[in-house]
Amino acid sequence: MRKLKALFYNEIIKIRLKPSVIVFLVLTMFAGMLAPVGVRLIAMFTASAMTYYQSDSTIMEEDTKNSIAGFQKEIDDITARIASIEAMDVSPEEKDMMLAAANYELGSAQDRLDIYSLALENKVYPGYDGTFAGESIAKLTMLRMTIRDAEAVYEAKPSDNKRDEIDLLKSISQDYEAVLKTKDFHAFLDAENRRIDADSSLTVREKETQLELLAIRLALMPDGNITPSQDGDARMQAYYDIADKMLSLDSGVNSYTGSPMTLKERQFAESELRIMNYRLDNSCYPLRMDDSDRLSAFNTSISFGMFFVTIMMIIIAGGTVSHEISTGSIKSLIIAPVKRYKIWIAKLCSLVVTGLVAVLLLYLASILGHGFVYGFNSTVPYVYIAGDAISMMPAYVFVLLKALIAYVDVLFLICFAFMCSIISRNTALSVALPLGAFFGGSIAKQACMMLPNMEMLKFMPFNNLDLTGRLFPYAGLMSSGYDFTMEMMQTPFNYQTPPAIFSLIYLGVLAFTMLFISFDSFTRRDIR
Amino acid sequence: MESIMRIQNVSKTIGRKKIIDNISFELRQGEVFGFLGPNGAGKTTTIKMIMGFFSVDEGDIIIDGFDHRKKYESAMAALGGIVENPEMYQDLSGRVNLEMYARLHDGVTPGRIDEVVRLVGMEDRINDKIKRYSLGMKQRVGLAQALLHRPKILILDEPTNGLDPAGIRELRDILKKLAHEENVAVMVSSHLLSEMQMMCDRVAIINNGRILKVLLMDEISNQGNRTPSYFLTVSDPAGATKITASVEGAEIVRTDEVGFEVRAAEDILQKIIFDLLSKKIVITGISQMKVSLEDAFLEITGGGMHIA
Repeated sequence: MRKLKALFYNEIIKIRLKPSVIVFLVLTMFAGMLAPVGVRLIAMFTASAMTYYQSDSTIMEEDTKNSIAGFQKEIDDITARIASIEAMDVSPEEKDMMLAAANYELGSAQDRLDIYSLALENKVYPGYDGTFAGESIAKLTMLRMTIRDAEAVYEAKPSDNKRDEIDLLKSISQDYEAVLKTKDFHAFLDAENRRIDADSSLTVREKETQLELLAIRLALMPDGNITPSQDGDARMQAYYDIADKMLSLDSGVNSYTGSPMTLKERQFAESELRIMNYRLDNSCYPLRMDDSDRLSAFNTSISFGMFFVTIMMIIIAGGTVSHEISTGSIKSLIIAPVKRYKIWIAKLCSLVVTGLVAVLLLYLASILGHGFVYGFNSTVPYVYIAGDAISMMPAYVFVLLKALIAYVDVLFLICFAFMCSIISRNTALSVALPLGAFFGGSIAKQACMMLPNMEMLKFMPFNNLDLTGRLFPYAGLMSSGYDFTMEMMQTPFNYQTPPAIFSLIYLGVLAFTMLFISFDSFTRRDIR
Repeated sequence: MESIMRIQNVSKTIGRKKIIDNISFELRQGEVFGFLGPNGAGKTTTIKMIMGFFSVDEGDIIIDGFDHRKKYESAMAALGGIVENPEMYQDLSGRVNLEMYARLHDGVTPGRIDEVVRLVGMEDRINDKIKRYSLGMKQRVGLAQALLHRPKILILDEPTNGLDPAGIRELRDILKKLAHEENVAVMVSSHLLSEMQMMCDRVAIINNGRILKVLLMDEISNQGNRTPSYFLTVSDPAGATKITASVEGAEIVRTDEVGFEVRAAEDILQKIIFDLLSKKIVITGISQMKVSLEDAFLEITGGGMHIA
C-alpha cells in the first residue's frame, strides 16, 4: 500500500508538469468562467432588441387602422353584393338563401370592425398585445360569432331557453368590452369564469381544468402582466407550459407529436405536472427570465469545460504508458522494487483523479463566473420524483452532480485511451483513436437517430453515453419556457436511447473488459 | 566470498529464437563481475530479465536469498542499476527524479540523496532539468539513482558508453571502491575486453546466449604476461622442430612449411639458435610474436569468437 501511494504520488507529479495539462486546465477554467458572461451578453442583447420592438406603437397603430379599413372595404363589398342579389332574377327561395349567407358575412365583418375600433380606441392592438387585453379581443370575436349562430337558431325556432342563453352571452361579451376599457385583470378573470361556465360544449372535467388554470393564472400574474417585460414573458410562458401539460393530459394527445399519448408519455407528463405544481406551491418555479439564463449559463459552462477536460484526459491517458516506453523513462519504474500491477493501478488512479480534479476545478470556475454575473444567491432548485416522493435538490448540487455524471463519459474514454496506450505502445495512435471515438461517436449517434428503431442499436457504446439527460429527466422544468428541443433531448423514453440502468451496466462491462485487457498486457508483456 | 545472486539454468525465447540458452552463474559480494560478449550475445537480455523488464521463461533467479518470481519486491530491493542509457523524466530536475525513485524504496533519507549526488559530483547541476544534461551527466545521475538505496547488487549495462576517458576512469574507481570497500557486488556488461581487464575481478564470457566460461581476470592477464614466442624461418622446419623440442624450456607452438613458432625465454632462444646452427640448419629470419590480451583470451575461450 505504501508503494502504491508512492507510485500514485509520482504519477501525479509527472502529469502535473506536462505543458499540455496546464494549457487545457486553463482553457477549462476559462470556459467555465466566461460561459456565463457570454450567455448574459446574449440575453442582454436579445432584451434590448425586444424592448425596441415593443416600444414602437406607431407601427402597431398603423396596422390596426389598416385592418379596420380592410373590414370596412369588406362591408362595402358585401353590401354591394346584397344589392346585386336583390336585383337578380332567381326563385325567392334561392334569393333568400343567398341573402342569408351574405348577411351572415356582413354581420361578422361588422362585428370585427366594431371590436377592432373599440380596441384602437383603448390602445389595445390585436395581434401585438400579448396580455389579457389582447386575449379579450380574441375572446370577444369568438363570442360574437357564437351569439350570431345562436340568434340564427333562435330565429328559426324561438324558445325561452335560447333567448336566455343569448342574453347571457351578450352580457359576457359586454364584460370583455369593459375589460378593454378598464384593463382590469380581475374583471377579465370574472368574464372568463362566466364564459367557461356558460360554454355548453365543454365537459365537466374540461370546465374544472379551465377554472383551475384561471386560478393558476391569477397566482402567477396578480396584475395580469399588463406592462410587458421579460419576466412577464417568462411568467406567461410558465402559464402556457402548465396549461399545455394539463390540457394534453385531459385530451390524451401529445401536443408536440399530435398523436395519442403512450402510457409512458402519460406517466411522464403526470410526473411533470406534479413537479410543476410542487414548484408553484413551494415558490421555486422559474418565473424570471434570469432563472432560465442562469441555468443555461451553468449548462454552457459545464459542456464547454467538459469538452476540454475530455480532450485533455484523452491526451494524458493515451500517452501514459506508450510515451514512457518510447522515451525510456519507464525504466526507472521497472527497476524499482514494485510489482507491475501496482504501477498499472497507480497509473489508472492518477488518470481518474486528475480528471476528477479537472471537473471540480471546472465546477468551481463556473460557480465563480456564474456568481460574478448573476450573483451568488441560490438559483432555482432541481425538483424530481424518486419512487413516489417528490424531492428538491439545490441548483449548485444539481450542477455538480451533472458535471460528475458527464465525467462518466470521460472515464469511459480514459479506459479506452489507456488500453490503446498499453497495447499499441504508440502514443499517436492511442490519442487519435479515442479522439476519433469522441468526435465520431456523437456523429454516429445522430446518424442512429435517423435509423429505424432496432434493438441492436442499444449495443452501440456511444448510444449509451451522455447519461445526464436520462438521469435528470426533469431538468427541462428548471427554466421557464418549455424548449421543444430540450424536451426532445431530455425525454427518458426517446426510443433510441436505452434506459440509464442498462447504459450504466453496459458501459461498466465494456470498461471492465478494456481494463482487463490492458491489465493483462501490462503485467505480462516484456518491455524492450 | 559469499554469493549474493544466483542465476540458475535460465532460458529466454523471443519469437522463435532462443535468445538465452540455459545460463547459470553467480555474483559474489565485494567483486566486480564482468559480463563480456559481442553485440547480440545476450548480455542486455540477461540483465533485463534480472531487472524485471523481461519475464523468465525457464530457470530461477535468486537475489539476496529471495526468489525473483515469488518474492519479487524483496528481491528487487537489493538491486540497483542502469539498463542501456539512463532515461529519466526530461521535464523534471535531477533531484526530483531522484526523489521520485527514492519514494519507491524503503528508508532513503533526503540526506542520502545529497550524499549520492556528491558521490557522482553533480552538486552544481542537480536542480537543472534532465533535458539540459549532457549524456555524461545523465550517466552520473543514473548512477546516483542506482546507488540511492544502498543496493547490495549494482548492475550496469555498458556503463562506459558516452563517457570520456576521464569519466571512465572515475567510474572505474567508484565501482572498485564500492566493491572492495563497501562489499557491493557489481556486475558490468561490456563488449570491450580492455575495459573489463581494468575493472573486473571476474568475467563471464557469453556468446549466442550461452556462457562459454567464467574466469578470474588474473588468469587472462597472466596469459598475457607469460613467456614470449618467436617465429623462426628455417631451411628444414621438420628437422628444426625436432632439434628444438629437445631443448629444455622450449615449447613448440606450431610448425609450417617455412618455419616454426616456439615459446621460450631469451636465454633458451639463444641456445636453440646455437643448436640449430650447429646442426647446419639455416635460419633466414627470427621475429618475436606479439602476444596480446586478445590472443590470450581467444586461446582460453578456444577461439571462434571475435572480441573487438
